[in-house]
Amino acid sequence: MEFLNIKKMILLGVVFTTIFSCGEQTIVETIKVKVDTFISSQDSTNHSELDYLNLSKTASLEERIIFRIPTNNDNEDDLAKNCLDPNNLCSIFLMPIVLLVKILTNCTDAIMTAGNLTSAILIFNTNDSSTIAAGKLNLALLSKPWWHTVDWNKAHPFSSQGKWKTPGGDIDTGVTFSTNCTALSTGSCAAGEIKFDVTNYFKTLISNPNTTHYGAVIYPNANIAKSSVYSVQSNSALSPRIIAHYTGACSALTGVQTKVFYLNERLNY
Amino acid sequence: MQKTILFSILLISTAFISESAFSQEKGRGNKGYFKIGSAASIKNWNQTPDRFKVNDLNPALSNIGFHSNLPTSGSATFSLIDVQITALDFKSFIPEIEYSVGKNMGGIIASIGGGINFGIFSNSSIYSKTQYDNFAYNLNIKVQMGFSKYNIFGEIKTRKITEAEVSTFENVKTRVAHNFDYIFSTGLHFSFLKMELLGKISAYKIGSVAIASNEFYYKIDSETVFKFTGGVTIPIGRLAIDVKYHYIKNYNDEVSLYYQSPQLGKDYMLSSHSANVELRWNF
Repeated sequence: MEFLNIKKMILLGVVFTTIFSCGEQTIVETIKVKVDTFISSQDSTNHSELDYLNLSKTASLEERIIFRIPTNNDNEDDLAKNCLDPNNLCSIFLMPIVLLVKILTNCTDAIMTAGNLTSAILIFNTNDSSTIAAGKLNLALLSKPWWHTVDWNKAHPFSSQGKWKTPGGDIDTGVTFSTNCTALSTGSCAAGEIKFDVTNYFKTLISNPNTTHYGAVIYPNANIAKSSVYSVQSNSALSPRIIAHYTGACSALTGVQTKVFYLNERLNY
Repeated sequence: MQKTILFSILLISTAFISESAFSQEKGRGNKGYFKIGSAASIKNWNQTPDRFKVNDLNPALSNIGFHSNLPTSGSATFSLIDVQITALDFKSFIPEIEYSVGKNMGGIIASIGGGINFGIFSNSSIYSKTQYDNFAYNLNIKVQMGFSKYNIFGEIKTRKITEAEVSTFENVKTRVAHNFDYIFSTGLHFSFLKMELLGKISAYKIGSVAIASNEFYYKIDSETVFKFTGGVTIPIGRLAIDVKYHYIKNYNDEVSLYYQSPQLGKDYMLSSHSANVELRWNF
């Protein structure tokens, strides 16, 4: 009997701690990358609404994935006020800390510090049973904004400045990433998985609020056969996403949390 | 092809009417005129904006309208109205209405006015829900000084093109917004034989432009573009043929201009060289 009471007390203690104190714990957070497309050295068609992305490199053809992580409030009215007035400075490409909290955690409070983020992995999955060998793909940040109709030669169609200086995408060399499936802070690549460790990048964003994020490009650094990859439009659990692990005190949490962010989900704050 | 045919029909019609009208020199009206006309690009920009082919943005513009004339003498207050409807194709129309009031003060004619233009596009029109599907309004002040053989004029105009949708992809709307444009024009009308010659230079100080969606932002800075216009008006009885040639210079970026000045009516600036011809019937 006494043993049972002790068990109940321990159980009550766990429940009480979970509900009311919610101390240091590791949380896993999953979001889908918001906008994605692919560009081809042979084709300037708009691929932004397709449910797949292509990666390939041969002597005659190269295909690259372009994507960006959301950086803005999804409220169109606010956007109209702020950005559609040519006299205003537009903050649409600046990554605010409040949004990083939304992307990387389930917390409502601004608990996000670089020290709390233990891992952030960017994941794409092939949809054709193909596997791309580790180390064959590079991830790099882009240095200018791009629009839905981005192609091999131009980022956007609104001026001659919209042309890429380097066909295939202008790269911001100030930030570097390890190649696919190498130097991962968490886990490893299963068949069909394309993973990049983006922990340090997110730590930098957290430490430097309102850093500009124009998006990123994934491109082969050696010849590879064509692989088809799930896009956001595929609306699959295997769509492009970021899985974040973090620790920290967050009063609303009751354990391991999972959150999926879809293209049309409003990200208001 | 369509452009060439329309332009040719207009020129042939003009020639036919003018030939028969030479004998009707007397009784030329001076209250105003009805007009039909056409405009066409002579030299296109090398690039086109998204969703459009070169010919889409250089259509044979066909227009019809009327205009009330300025008084040529006296000091009475006058009003002037100019109404024009431009057809881009069978599904796309741009009405333009301008009205001004003024006074003749001993040879100096001053007027103040305003105007609007907007697109009436069917849903299947290629211009529907693009930057050309906009509403614009303007205010202007014009001063004209007459001499025996010529008159000189100056005009200051401010124009606002209201916000318009550029396109929608992935359920995300991209829109374009404009700051005010300021247009400074000066020129000379010169009587030569029975013709009236026109030389005009216009400086378009085009306001900055913002293009934005929930995923994208791009700003085009303000810039000044010059437009040179040369023209001749040939009176033939109650009729007159008006031909003008326009040349655009000093633009930073021909692609940006498609978004900075998306006007397919009178202020047509979507090609580097363009011409328009108008047949007028004075009443």
